[in-house]
Amino acid sequence: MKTSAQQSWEPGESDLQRARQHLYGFLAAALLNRPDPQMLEGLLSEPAMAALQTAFPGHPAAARLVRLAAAYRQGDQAAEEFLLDYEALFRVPGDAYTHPYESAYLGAGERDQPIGRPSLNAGRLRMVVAAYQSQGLSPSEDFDEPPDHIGVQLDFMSCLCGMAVEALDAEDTHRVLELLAAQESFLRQHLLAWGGDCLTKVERSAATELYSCLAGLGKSFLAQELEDHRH
Amino acid sequence: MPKSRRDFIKGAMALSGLLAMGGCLAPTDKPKMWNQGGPDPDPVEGAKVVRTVCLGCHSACGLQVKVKDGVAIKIDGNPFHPNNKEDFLSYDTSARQAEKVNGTVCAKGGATMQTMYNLYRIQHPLKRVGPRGSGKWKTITWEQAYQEIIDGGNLFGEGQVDGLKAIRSFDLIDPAAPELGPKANQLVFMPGRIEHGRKEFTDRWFQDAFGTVNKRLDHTSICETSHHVGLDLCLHKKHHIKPDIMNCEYIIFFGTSPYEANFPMQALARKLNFFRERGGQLVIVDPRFSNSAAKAARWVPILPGTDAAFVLGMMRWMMEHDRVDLQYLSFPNAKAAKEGAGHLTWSDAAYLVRADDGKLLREGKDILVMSGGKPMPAGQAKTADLLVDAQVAGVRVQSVYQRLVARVKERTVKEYAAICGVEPKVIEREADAFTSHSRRAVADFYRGPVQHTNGTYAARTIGILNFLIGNVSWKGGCEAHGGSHWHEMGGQPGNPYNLAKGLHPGKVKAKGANIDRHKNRYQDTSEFKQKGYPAKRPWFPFAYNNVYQEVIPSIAAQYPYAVKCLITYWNNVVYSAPAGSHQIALLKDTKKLPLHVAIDIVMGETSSLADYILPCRHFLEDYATPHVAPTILTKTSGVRQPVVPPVFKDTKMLEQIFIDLALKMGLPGYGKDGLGPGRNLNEPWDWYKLMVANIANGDKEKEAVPGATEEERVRYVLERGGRFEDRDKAYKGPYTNHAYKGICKIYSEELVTALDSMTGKPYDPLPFYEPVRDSMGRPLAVDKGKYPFHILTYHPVYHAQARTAASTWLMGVTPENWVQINAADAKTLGINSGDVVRVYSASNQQGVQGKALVSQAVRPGIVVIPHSLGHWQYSSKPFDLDGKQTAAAPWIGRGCSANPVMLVDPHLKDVCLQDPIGGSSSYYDSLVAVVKA
Repeated sequence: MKTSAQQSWEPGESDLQRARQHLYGFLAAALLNRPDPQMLEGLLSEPAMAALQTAFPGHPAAARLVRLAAAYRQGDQAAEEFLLDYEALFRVPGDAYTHPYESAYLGAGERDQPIGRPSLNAGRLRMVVAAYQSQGLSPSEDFDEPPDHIGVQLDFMSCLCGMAVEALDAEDTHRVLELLAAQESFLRQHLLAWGGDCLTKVERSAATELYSCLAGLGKSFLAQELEDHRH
Repeated sequence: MPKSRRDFIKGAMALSGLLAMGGCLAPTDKPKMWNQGGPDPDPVEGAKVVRTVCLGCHSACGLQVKVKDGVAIKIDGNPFHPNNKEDFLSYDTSARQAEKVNGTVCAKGGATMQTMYNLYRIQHPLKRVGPRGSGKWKTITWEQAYQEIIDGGNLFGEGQVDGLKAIRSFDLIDPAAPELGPKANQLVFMPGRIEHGRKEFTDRWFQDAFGTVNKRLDHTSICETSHHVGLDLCLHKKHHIKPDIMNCEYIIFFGTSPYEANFPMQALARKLNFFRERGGQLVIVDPRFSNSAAKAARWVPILPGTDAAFVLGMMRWMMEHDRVDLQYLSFPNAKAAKEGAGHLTWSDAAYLVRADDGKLLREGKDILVMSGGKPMPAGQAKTADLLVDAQVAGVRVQSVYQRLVARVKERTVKEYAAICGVEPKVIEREADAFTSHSRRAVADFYRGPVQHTNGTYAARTIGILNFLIGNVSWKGGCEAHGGSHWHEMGGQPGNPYNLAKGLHPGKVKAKGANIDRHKNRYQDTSEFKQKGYPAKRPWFPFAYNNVYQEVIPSIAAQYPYAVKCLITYWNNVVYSAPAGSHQIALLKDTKKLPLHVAIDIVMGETSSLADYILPCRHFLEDYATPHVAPTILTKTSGVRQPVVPPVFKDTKMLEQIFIDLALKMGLPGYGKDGLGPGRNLNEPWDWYKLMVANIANGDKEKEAVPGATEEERVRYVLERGGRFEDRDKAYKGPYTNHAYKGICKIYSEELVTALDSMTGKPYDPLPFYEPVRDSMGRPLAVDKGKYPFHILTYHPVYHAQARTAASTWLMGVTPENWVQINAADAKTLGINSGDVVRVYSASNQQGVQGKALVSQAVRPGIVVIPHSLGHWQYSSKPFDLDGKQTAAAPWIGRGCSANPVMLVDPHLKDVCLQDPIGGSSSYYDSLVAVVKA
């Protein structure tokens, strides 16, 4: 990946952007949506497991997820347990509850809240909305989560990667540079600054392997992103 | 490219399309709104910031109002105010710099702008032109209104009506019954909600200038007056407790929902979040699964009105498992308690009670205890015996604790549990948990347990549970004082103006019996001497807060005397009181009530039954000095001030109306030198500037806020919306800083020596469970086969009392006002969610109608209708003004209210069931039937 004003790209840049687009999109969908049977059918399908094992070779969370998926497909694992886990993690106040919102982690000391702890729905929320709007993106029909949800931020990264693919294919150098800069800026200011903490809490608090493994894989992916953007 | 990267790309690419759902972001030319759930981007750069105090409910939170071009455009929380931020700003923070910081504000507070800019407000003085209550009005001038109200005459073509001038006579109403007082008492002031600053102003007018004892018969008895009365009978001059939530470990709330209501709701909710975050156990005792129950460790759905039985069960378990702090109870005075175990309070547990008359055993003025088997003055003993049953000078005496043990052991835990409709282990578990945190556990309550006929007993019983673990005034324990406030009425060494005692030339002394007979003893009357028991209507010697629901029925009954003029202010008793709709006919009777003047901002249900309506200001256009609940541990004096010029120019502040009337009547203490030599009283600020100056200068010498002159100091306070002690002053060592330092009374000598005006029997002096009763002391006789459901009501978080229905925002977030019913009951009745049902009672066969919400979130046998909707006036329908129909907003009348179907007292027949001690009206003792409409 290039983040400076170069005129050419390393071989495979387009594929890399496309791969990131899909993985970001996959994680976004997994964290934003309640695990109904339709979603679980795709999430725990054999192709999905094969893909994750390939993308994360030797990762213990991937291996555990594969075993879980097999149990689910054989009827040894009830879908209700995933639903209860999802609700406990992201919806219902309690020991397992994990804020999926950036404004619960970051923002203290900034303009809106110069004093005190981070505050839900504070200035950070408006910053991410501005980032989405700068790329012409708004919430899709009937979407009702706040904009600083981790799933929305993952989806935004997926969109940026998808746009980069289009720009690369169109050989629109200016647009590619703009999008790569936008990715880096968003990752540094937002997703990488808190996503790891959030996923760590999910990993620890989850009652099912589904969410602890997804969080583990997400964390590894974000760690790799952080590594890539250090260079 | 390394292999790992190639694998990553290959694997990640294969994830494409495996999840059917699309992304949550979509390209668009027109940006769409996000669900932000929080403050919108502040549209007020460069706006003027005015800090004031909210009246969206009674929590008295600080507001930071953004004003542009004279229009209030956004309301945030005042960051200086402890209600609005846990880390509220240090008071010396620059007022300007603080504009960058917002405190929180609840939905009601933010929406108060809409009730100020409500197009359906009354904009000019009105006079009725048809029969009272006919809905026909004409616009008149203030001058005409004042002249007619003062001078009276044949005002409505219905005969002579006395005006204020004629009513203000100091001749006795009835020379044969001098205890009733002078004819001036025939003027009654009945505000709904009236706050500090303002209530002292109107007391001065009605009591000290006009001369009526009926100075302020406000709403408290339809709120929770028995909570105050009950606690006042436990503590010395204190009547409100709250847990020190930030340091507590276990809280059991009886019949209150701090995440939806109570005072101050947003501070309670915020502090409880911190409490829960650090592992605090929250227990909610309530037949309804409230928002608070949803966040609690445990929900205990007991039967309504059985709270005292639950607590007595806890006490029994505690006594049998050695979980009572007997050491604390054995300290019979302040010194012994402080030196013995560091307590700031002590109890009466060792005081001796005479068996013959129930009075405390005294030697001279000294109350006696037994110490080491010998009687001695309580003030001299280091410790005293707790279990005493002995003879002293030929009189059998028992210690208070001995009596308490006997009381508690009248029933087993199993029997208490049966009364409450729970398993015994539920009581045992909470008794165990309550006594497993040393002094960092608190039993608290508010409205739920006390708005019953047994309300005062329930209040005392719950309050006393705290005494058994000695938790009062400790950090993390039961707070009985709170931070309190600076004394705006003066009288403290630092205050420059003593408004409480002085500054009122020509002040008169009001005397006689109140029309609602609060604080009056029937046994002192001529009527009692002639007729004995029962009185015609009940008397309430302990109800120091007024008995609001009794006022209109008493006027209609002309008991204990006839009333000639009723002035109501922001009063909606017919809508808000249980069975209040029965009072409509009483208010329409011009023979019994010749003159009714309503001061209001809207055509409320009660104001619609007036002869004149005088339009007053919205609270955002007003002054006041509201206090806060003991939830707040630091000293807090909020100051309300107008944030914008009056929206409707022909309206007046309440104070201005009474100043005008006083000047026209020549009442003492108004106009030139009205507040003493050199201090005129011609406008509200003349009064309030002295109050704010008292706050600014402080209670102690050298406690003034910065400022070289008084004007500068007053401005310093106004700029910050009040005066607020810094948050590091909340605690002092192991105690709260402004802690209560007095006696904690298990036994009430006052109660046992008083006789009920209807039954002639004494009240119970100990923690006590009493089943629901009527005014004659009889168990309530309702056919449970015909009326099988207990009806309850509550304040939803988006509404408050009668006042929020005119907000489109708040009505928008509460699109329905459900009749909530348990799923099993609904199934039996064939009712589904959304079905229209009729709820009716023996007192109201027509009943009310609403849509059913079938759920498990309410105990079987209970139906619940949240309060605040179901208006039938309030501009939900038009009225006739100057011969034309006004505009109306039918949405204001959406939903239904439970109040019209609540039971009337079977003996009195015109008022709801009442607590004979505290005077609380009963909201939770009515039985109803539910059918599909």
